[in-house]
Amino acid sequence: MKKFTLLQFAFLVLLCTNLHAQDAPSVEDRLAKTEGEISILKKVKISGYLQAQYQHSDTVGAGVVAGGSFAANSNQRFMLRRGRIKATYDGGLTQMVFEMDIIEPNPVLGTANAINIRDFYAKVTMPFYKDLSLTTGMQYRPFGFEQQYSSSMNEAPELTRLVNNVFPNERDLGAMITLKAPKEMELLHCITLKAGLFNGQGIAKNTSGNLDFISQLYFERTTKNEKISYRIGGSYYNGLVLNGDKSIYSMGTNSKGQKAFIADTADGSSNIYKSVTRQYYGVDGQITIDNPAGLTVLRAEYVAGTQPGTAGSSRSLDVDPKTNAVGATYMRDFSAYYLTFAHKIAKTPFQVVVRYDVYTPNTKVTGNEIISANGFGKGDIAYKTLGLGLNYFMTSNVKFIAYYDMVTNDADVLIKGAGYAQKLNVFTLRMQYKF
Amino acid sequence: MKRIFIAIALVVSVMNSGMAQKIKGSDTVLPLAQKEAEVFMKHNAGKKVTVTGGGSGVGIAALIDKTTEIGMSSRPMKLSEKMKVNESGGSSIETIIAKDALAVIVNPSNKVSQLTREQLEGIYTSKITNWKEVGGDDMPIVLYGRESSSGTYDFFKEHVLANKNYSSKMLNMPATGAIVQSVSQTKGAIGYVGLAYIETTVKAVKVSYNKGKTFVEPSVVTAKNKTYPIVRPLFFYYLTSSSKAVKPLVDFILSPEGQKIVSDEGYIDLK
Repeated sequence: MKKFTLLQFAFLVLLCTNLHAQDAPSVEDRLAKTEGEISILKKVKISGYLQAQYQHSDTVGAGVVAGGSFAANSNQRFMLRRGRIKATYDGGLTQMVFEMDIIEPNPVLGTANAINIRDFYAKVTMPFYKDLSLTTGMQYRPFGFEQQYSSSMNEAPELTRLVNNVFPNERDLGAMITLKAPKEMELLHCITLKAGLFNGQGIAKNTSGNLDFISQLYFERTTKNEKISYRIGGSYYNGLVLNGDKSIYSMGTNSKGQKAFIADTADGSSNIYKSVTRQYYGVDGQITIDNPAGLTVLRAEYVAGTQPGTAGSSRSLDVDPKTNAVGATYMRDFSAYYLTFAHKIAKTPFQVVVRYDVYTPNTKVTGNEIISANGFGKGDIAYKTLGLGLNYFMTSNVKFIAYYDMVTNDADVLIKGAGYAQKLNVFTLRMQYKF
Repeated sequence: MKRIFIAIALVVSVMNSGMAQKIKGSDTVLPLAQKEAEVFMKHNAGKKVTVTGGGSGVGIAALIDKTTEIGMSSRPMKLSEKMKVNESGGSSIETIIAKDALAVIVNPSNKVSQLTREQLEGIYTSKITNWKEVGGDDMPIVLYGRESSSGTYDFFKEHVLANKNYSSKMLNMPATGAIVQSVSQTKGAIGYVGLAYIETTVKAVKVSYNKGKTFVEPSVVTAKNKTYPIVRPLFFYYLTSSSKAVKPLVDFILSPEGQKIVSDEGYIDLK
């Protein structure tokens, strides 16, 4: 009896297994389904990075560019310099990018612990001409090279004073076209034209009521032996900024024959909310050389133009003068340049960096001409920064940067008492995790 | 008890597949890499090597993304690719494992049996569109080539077409085998493939690089004695961080036994 029952049970199990096997999808069906799901997932890419660092300044309470000013009684700090998450959806001819920035509260700068949008744009490549695309939204400005270079890939920990003052936040809201000649026109295909209209206020809302025109044209090529890659380009910026005061200051000569800011109040109240010119010209060049000693990169950029600022700052205005009392507009002719040398040593994970950065916010005045009585101040001081650094790529995700900025400014004895002649040298030791 | 053993066996097999060395990339190198891997694994029980194709560009991209230990390529790594490796802090190592003669093939019924480089350039840029223009029958030329991710595509463009762009009429095939099949089935077809892929179903033409003074057929002998002009190195690329792990396999391929496999498979050894 027991044997018969076991046999029946075994038969039942076999029957159920066979039935189940007939219901199960084939390997080919499962593979096709999986491939379909993977092809959708492959369109989405998530990346991000975090930069945590220690900094030490030669001056307590130093007003530095690298990471913002130190607190009044401090010359060293740990800080979360940047935390960014980026999502990209690549639909072939279309693409959408979203990147947000998480910043540390900085009472000196007045920023709260905040999440800011960095990139938020859509790009459409024309199906009828694949070398023409339209990008709309929050994106890099098509000007120069450095401000379009990701902070995570930058050899130095910070961008130059040029970008920090003239292009704060590195992004702007607008629409841009990108155009290249067809691939068949080999040499012309190396030329790229980018041009667009932008708000001009960085990641803030448009406050001027005007749109700024920004464009660049560059030639980029690699030698046949794949040893040298080079790029050379020119950029142009033409915009307008709202003045929020009855006075607009421009460079002139005072009654003592000294250089001074002279107020234009002739128009009286009609100066309020008058648009003033913001115009830049730039040239840039980069060369990468694959050589027996490693990979060497040389970069240089020069920008000059007219920059509307305020009494104490040459930084581009990104607040609404109608709701924020920023004071009178100070018109300055500026120039700036930098030279970067970065060399990855042979097959080692080390890279040496040297950068020389010069920012002259007011080219018409220098040294002992910067007298506060003549309307000059911090916004007119030129800076020269020599940075030396060593990068260690521990893994493909983790990079350590040790960098020392040596800053000199042209503040003369006349303004030393005002605390302008600070020693602004800063040492930065940073760990970056990128995925 | 049986279930425990089966579970352990499953876990071990999954772990082993995860630890397998991966080689990915060039379709030209694929048959050679597969054979080398097979023999290497016979000599090294416990070591597993998986080999997949996709094209030189795909292999190098996988190396940059670190989804493969070795990227096999039939063209040198581009500077833009080296920069991407550099950006993640790595460095790539290039090793030539063999050489390959690139053959131009036509359908066996095609009476054309030799072409100059200039004629090949004219054909692949569609300046020459009919076989009668190069001494053949009155028959349109059907162009077959590889996709842009292929190192063979890049090499042929640079060395045979003198960097002129391919005709838009060229049919881009995803794999070398697909070119061989298409040319064997299409009377007016022409294609280019590595020497190791040539079968009796297609005919390799003789090529002249001196404007027709001498024509040389592709073979291991003519490639080795440098009379055949379209010969290229085949590469393994790997990162310095993986060099210790891949060294046994690379050393095996460069050894006399590994180089004999190169010759046996129809490639040109480095001796």
